[in-house]
Amino acid sequence: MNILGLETSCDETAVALLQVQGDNFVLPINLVSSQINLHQKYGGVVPEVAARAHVETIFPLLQESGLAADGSGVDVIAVTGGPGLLPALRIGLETAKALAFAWHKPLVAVNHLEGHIYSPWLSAIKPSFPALALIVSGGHTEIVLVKDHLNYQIVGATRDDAAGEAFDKVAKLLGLGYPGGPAIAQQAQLGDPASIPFPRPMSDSGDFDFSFSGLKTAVAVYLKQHPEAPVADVAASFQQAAVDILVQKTLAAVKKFQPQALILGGGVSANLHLRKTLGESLTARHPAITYHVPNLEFTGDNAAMIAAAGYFHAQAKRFVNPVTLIASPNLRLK
Amino acid sequence: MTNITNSPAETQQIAAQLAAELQGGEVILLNGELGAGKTTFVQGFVQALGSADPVRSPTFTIMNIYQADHPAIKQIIHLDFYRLAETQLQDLGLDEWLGRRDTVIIAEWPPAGLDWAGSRQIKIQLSIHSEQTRQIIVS
Repeated sequence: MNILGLETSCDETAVALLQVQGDNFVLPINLVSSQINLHQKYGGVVPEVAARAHVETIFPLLQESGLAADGSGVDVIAVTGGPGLLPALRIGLETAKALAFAWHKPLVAVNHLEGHIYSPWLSAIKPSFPALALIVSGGHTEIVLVKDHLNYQIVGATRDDAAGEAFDKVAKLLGLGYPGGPAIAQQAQLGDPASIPFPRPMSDSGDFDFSFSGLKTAVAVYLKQHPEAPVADVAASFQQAAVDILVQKTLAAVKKFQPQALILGGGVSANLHLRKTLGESLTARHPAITYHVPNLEFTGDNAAMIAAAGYFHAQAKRFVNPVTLIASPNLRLK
Repeated sequence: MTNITNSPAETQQIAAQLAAELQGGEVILLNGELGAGKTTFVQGFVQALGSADPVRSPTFTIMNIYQADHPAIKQIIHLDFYRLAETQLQDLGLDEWLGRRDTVIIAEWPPAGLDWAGSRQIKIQLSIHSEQTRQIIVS
């Protein structure tokens, strides 16, 4: 089965074609707008965040993909239906609807978080069920119990800021620039992670929820009181606090729900310290549970993961009507 | 009006007092440095308008919508301009919500010069005094 995936829920415009044969997932096309210098090639300025950017980018991307103009070679179209910013979601959704209508192809709507959960299916070794997923990005921090394909239960979430947002804002406080995740990770390598005892908010809350706003605020207040603090030590101590709390809560959820597999996904799963610490802690305590982390290219927003989740929607015949499908900015996973 | 608060709970109380005075259709503009308590303020504000929805930072999602339980106000639009450099409100799909009496908008990091379509604006300025203490100016 060949699935065309489209993703426009946040900053990235992305197009992918996924070919699935048995357990073999191959990507002849996988384009993400930020990885291609589109505005150099096609002219015009692409603003960082605006539906305008998706409008200006999606057709050049489809053209760049080399996809046949009559839709041959596509069996199913998968598109992100939410959550996300309404005008941004609409661009991908209306494009997908128009293509499905014109080509007479079945359409499936995928939840963006579901895409991140399915990102490890793009690798050779697939997770078994039940699985537990920690999804961490700029906009999300969620622990999801995946009982079976397309069967989700959110068991923990941030109560304020997402983990990736905390990385970006602490990077800003330290004058490290955007995006903050890689900048913090780089500085952290040069610093002492035990030098500043930042709090581990909600570590004793007894549930699987997070609070990263308090950690960010602790860094802001510390920097006011210690303006001369070495940047590398602050970055390393902050990263350690963030990773500690993510690992602690995730392993507590693993202990409770006893999954077959643990999945890490989302933009923050590109953080090597988190990838390594979570994997090592899991192996030390639960050696029988498999650990699945997407390849680095599939950690950020992309359309390949939307196509992967879309494949399972199509397998379950969960098709949607292109005439009536609308974007759902507040779509919840269930 | 200037307030000094000594805990996140006190910051939320100030937000609840503001919420109690609203009639619907207002735009609340929240300014303050990182860690000053803007999200904390919004949490108190949204809760005071009868919403049980979780209030999370919209820095990446740009806009969150909460359902209120209030005689006049039916929804609260939570905006965050932190990542947006040059933005027109139309780009965010706000046309649908601006100027409605059953809606209040609360915006973090609002840039100057946005056209709020004649809505009554209330400005909140938060700043860090010490680890727990915050100054909140309502104008």
